[in-house]
Amino acid sequence: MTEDTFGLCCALLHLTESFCPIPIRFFLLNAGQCILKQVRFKITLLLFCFPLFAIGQIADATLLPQVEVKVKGLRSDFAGTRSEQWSKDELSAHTTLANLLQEESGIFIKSYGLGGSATVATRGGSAGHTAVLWNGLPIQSPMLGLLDFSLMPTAFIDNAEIQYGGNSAAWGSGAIGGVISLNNQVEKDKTFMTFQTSVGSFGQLGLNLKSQYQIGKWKGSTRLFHKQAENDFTYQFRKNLPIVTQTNAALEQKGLLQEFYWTPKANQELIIRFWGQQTDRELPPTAVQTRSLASQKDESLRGSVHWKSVSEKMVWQMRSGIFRESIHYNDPERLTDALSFFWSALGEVEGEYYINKNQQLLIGLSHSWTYADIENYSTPPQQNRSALFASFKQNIKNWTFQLNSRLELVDNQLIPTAPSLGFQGKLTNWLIIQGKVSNNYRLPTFNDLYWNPGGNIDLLPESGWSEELGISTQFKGKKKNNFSYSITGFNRNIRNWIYWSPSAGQMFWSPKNLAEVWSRGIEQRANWDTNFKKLNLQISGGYDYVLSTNQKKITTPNIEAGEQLWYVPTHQAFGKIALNFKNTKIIYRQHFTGSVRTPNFNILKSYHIGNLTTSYAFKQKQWSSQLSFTIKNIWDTNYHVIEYRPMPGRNYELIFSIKI
Amino acid sequence: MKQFFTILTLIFSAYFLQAQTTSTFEDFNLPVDSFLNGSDGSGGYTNGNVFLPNEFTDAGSYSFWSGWSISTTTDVTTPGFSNEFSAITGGGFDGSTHYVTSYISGNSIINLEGPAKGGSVVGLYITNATYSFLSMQDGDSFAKKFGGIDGNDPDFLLLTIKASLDGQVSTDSVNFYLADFRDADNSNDYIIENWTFVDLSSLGDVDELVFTMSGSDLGQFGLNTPSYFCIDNVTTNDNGPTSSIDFAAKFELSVYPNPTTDFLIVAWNQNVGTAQITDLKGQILATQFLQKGKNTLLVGDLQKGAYFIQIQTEEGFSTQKFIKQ
Repeated sequence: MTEDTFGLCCALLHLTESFCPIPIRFFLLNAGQCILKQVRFKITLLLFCFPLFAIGQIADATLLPQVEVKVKGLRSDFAGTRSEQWSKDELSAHTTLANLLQEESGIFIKSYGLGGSATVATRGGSAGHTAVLWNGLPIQSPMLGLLDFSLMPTAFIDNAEIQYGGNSAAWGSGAIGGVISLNNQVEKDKTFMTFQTSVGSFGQLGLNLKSQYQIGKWKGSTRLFHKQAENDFTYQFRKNLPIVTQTNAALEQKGLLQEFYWTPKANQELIIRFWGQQTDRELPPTAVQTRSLASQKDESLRGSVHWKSVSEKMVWQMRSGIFRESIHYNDPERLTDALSFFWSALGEVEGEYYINKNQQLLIGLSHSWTYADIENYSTPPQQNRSALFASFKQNIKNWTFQLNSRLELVDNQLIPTAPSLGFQGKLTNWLIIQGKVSNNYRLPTFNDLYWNPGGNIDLLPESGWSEELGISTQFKGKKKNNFSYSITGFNRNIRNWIYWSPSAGQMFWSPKNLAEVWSRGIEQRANWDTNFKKLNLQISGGYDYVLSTNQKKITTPNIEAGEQLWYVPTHQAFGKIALNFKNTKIIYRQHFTGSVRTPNFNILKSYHIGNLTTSYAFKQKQWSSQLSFTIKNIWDTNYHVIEYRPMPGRNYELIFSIKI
Repeated sequence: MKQFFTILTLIFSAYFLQAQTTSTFEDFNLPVDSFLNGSDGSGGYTNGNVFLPNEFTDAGSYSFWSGWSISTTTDVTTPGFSNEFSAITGGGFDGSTHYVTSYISGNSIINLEGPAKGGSVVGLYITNATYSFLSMQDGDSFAKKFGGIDGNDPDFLLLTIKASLDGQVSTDSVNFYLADFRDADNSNDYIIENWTFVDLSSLGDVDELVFTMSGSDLGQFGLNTPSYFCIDNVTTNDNGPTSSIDFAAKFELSVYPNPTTDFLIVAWNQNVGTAQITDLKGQILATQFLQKGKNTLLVGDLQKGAYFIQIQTEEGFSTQKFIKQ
């Protein structure tokens, strides 16, 4: 560590009067639990209160107004990482994040059907192996270790990004298969209002409102959304079987996202966000269940404060958030009524120092506190996590190298250091090579640790090394005639993979570090964007080949060595053809999901799903509007993502939006 | 003279009938809709000559048990785990209030005690628990409806009972299908919903009965169907360890013709004994004194169906099934 770095850390941390004398290198080189325990309270205090402190501190720094506030930092732009991004327009073509990822990414969405929950499997990982960040703050449930992507409305996201591969060094627990970032930002127009309404098959009705306004150095954005659906689609489970109407599948969802952006100077920004959402949904029966009367209410309240300041050589970012989420499950037929909820408070501060044009250094601290309760916990557990993370980037001619590292304490237990090293280089003007090696981990969830009975506080984190190497090429022709192609191979070994299972002589299930899983695969992406006079044509697609196998035989669950994990398709492909002519746009999307194994020793067949969207934009001086019509599952494919969970056939959606 | 033989036969039979004990579990005197699930720390329950082990874990707001629980619960409509103690019959055998529910975790074991230990077991009544019955009938979010979507899946839930003697588990077993949808003709599919007598005499000498469950709705974590069932009226023999099989061989016993229409011949080499004919529920229909050689039992008055004939002496007994046509 250089003296500059040390000075930076001290400047950052001197807000607690006694902290500065403790050398920051102590954290990196010799992080003793007892010392950290003493200072944890102060760190916590610092991080939760940082925006107020930070304004005072950084306002005194030398500031260069011409520097853009929007900078993608070292954490979010790790060298050697393959990523995919979606803009607001691209997001708006889909109702939920689950739909987007299913149709336009290599992530497998484990969907329980219309309105049902949806979790992800990235590069053959489990649902908890994908970190999800909302403006840089992790939002997975600490109880389940995952996020239900069916609850994430695209109307509340302005851009989304997947970074494939592990990066626990930057983002901590869960960043094994990939990191999904969901971000909000103000639009260029100062003041406007948009209104969008949609109507679709199976009683689907949607309403989105967004208003953005500006008063002086304050900008505000208010979004409301409401969605309801009966989801009473008909299905024929197999040929020659009677046609059945799905029951108990209605859904109602409403949410509010309020944002305030304060820009006191051109290079400083304070953002305050509040996201409240409620989803009431009925839980439909499986195809081998006579009926279901079960329902579930998901509520989430998320508040965050984000401060960013950019000077000539420094970018300071500080984030804090307080989240509360609850799930209320009710099944009157089975006399079951269970409420679970958690509170979490997170704070982090990071400083990114541009040493020179070829070197960048980032150091950050984070702390989180989580509290959760459900009847199955003997006493409501709490967890404190403190982390120190650092990143260093070095450019050497056409090559970039980046080293990330992280030291994390979880309730006084030190998690082994998780480093990652990435590189990217230009072999020729048109050929780029990139790769990374990383050590990643997923901490046991609250349910893993504290569920009564069965919870196992002796569980070790799932952890292991990942490696990947890829090449990409891009050709830019005249008149926007662009072609790009990339191919990436990855390899990952995770040990201490946690499974819940019954044990001999035990009446209940409990989690154990049972499995070792070897995941490897090849991902390819291609994109061609060209113009024929006034017609714009874009063709893009991807194909992923993933083997994710258990490496040692397990008795319970009964898994053979070399067996592919269940609900991990070996083959996935997706493609999109978009035609844009004047104000008319036609987009056809198709994705292919290969066959998957189920935990019941069955195989679900592979399937193709096609969606066709036609939209027309009306543009006037004072307002603009768009009308779009989508035919989903246009080939009326009879398919199943989860065993015995019916999926809808061909269905339709009409969306009208207007912006004033 | 005829009266004399009748009286003699009844006295003789009464002697041998006392050599059997039936555990009805009514002695627990529980109020209706209650249960004993081991939370009393007893580790199990004794009734008659059987001991029913119970393993109980107190986990605060939740408790878990396996093995056997004494129950008088009557709920035949509520699906799910919250109704885990009820039998689908809504009560015990023959209108009684008490019965026993088992949750099999690996296996459930009945220990024979006192004079029954090491002897053979006549049999017991079995039915489905409400939890497993409704799960098989309607499915739930974890387990499938039996028969599957179109009713044609060859599903089954099988209870296997084996004998254990001196720590050696027998290879022979008695199989009892709690549900059986394997027949190509779906009208023959069934889920047991009445108390059904299961004859265990063929297992021979026993000091433990070992119950295991298997089924068609199987996943990598094991059986998806709830592994519950209920028993009542466990009848044991208290005559020592001579098994039914040994008995038949030793006394050169043969019973024929089978099936029969009018009579059964019981041939053996013993001088004194009785033959007792019961229906499948254990109801005694006729008792007859046996002599050495061939004995003829008239069964022409019996309705068509299956019956048991039990040959008893001081040294043991043998039970055989026969069909009246």
